[in-house]
Amino acid sequence: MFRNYLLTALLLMKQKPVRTILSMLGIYIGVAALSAILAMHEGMRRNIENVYSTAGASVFMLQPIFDADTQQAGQLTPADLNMLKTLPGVRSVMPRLNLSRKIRGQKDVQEVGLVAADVDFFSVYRIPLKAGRFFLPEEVRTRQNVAILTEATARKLFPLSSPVGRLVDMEGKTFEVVGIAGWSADINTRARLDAEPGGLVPPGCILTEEPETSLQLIELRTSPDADETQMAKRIQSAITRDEPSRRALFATQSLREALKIEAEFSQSALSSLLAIAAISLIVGGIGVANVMLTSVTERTREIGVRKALGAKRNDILLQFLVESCILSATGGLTAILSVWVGCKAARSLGISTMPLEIPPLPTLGCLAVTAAIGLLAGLYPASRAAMRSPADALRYE
Amino acid sequence: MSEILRLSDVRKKIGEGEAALEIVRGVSITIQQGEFVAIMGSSGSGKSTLLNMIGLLDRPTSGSITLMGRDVSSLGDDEMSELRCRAVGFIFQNFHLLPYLTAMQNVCLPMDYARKAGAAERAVELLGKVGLAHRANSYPATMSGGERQRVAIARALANDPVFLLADEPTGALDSRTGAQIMNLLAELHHGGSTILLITHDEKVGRRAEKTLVISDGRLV
Repeated sequence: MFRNYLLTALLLMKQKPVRTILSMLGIYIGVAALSAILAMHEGMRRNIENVYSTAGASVFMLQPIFDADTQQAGQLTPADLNMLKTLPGVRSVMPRLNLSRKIRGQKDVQEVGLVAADVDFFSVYRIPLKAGRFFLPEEVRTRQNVAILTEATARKLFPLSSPVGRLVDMEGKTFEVVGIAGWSADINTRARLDAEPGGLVPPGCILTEEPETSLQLIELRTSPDADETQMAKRIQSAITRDEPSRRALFATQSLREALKIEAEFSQSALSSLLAIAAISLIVGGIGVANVMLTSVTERTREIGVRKALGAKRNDILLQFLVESCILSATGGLTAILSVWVGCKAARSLGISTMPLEIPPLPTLGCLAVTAAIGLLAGLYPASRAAMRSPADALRYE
Repeated sequence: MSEILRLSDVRKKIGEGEAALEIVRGVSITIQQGEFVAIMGSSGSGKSTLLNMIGLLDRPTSGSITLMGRDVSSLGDDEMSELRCRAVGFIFQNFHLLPYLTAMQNVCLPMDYARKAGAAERAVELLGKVGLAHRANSYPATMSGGERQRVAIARALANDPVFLLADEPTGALDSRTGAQIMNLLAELHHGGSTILLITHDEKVGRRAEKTLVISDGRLV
């Protein structure tokens, strides 16, 4: 019997193609807008996740802050660094240092930013190696004067040959170039750097051993499986030595927390757009209801004939409901399909740098809502049709 | 012969209070199995209202209708549909075929509503019986009036109804085609079908075995 309802609905839709297409278009536009926004949202989320995700470790940033109440500022020293290294769960610790140096290469002198980097730095932040090698643990531990140049700087300083194995002069100190690293804006974001550095050197080479030296930022890496909240608490209590007066002088934040904040921001920007798209979907639903009402009136006599031939109320009701559900579901499905094709095209043609992707679960929800709209939109017209007296309906002109 | 339909003092009032109008005023009819009865009357005589009640499309205000020994005058909508589906075979003046269905699909409709299996085979058989086997896949729009009425007759026979109820079956046809349709009905009658014919046309009415005349809501 359901096959018959379906068949009838399709035959009628074929009979009135313009009306069918127009009412589907309303739903189509609503669902297309909705799923395009969902795809953008998903794309943004994946983008953020990709940019922020570190490899093989969770990263925490510890920094001193200024407490406005007590007018005191926190101090991080090399001694703190050594203490943090011994914390259970901590894999490696590194002071974040950056400064600017004039480097003399093959023929040119460049003023570049230098960033301290240990062995883990390259793997955790997923920095690609273009030539040579990264630092060895031994070199970092014994503070060897070795350097890794970023690609752009390497090209400027050594335009004619590879700098790997060559010596460069950094304001009186001689460094051996051991490797070349690829770089991108994503790495800057991931590693919390303001700008692309020219080179990387072991932290000890720039860190002076004087005890009063104050560190701006300490980076800690822990196992990725460790509970981040617990870990952040442990770090915080170690650095404040659980003294209430020191509590407000230091801040520990995990990289994932920063990611969450960013994701929430993008979500809030899109949710207002989602509301607008939802309204257009409702407008589409009203269009379907209107078409169904017209259809019921037009087909009054047919309803009479069907009832005379033995159709019950449910037969008539279901027939009209199936029709309105097909109208909206077809509109919704084609919308999702075309947004999906659009996403693929945008990515493969390089129009969008975001990994646009229709998220499956919200999209299923979207389809369910569309079917529900069809059901609701058809309910009133269909029940009106089903309640008609067959004798009256047959006489209807 | 056994009785299949009995109307006892059936009345139908339309409207309420002062404006109420009694259209059928106490009609009693008994139809026997295999009869061919014509109910004749001019327009406004109440014959359409009577037809609606006989065809289980409407309920009487008072009086009783008994179909196959069962009182049907106060059934609910869906029960009436159920009974109508199996017991009454409608033939309308304007055929009332659904334009977007083929002849065969139209004939299948009552069987679909009765949830009967093997509808397609039966439809082909019935179309053969009315001489339209070759038109099974044609749409009503491509058929002549006579052909359409034959499809409608095949549709009326689909569920082996207790009786056929023909409402001015020749009203929309020219006299030659009309005569052919009447011949077909007569043939069905000889084959054992019970036929109730509602008409204002005396020539058509004369084809029945028995003629009842309704005037001003009463049989005369």
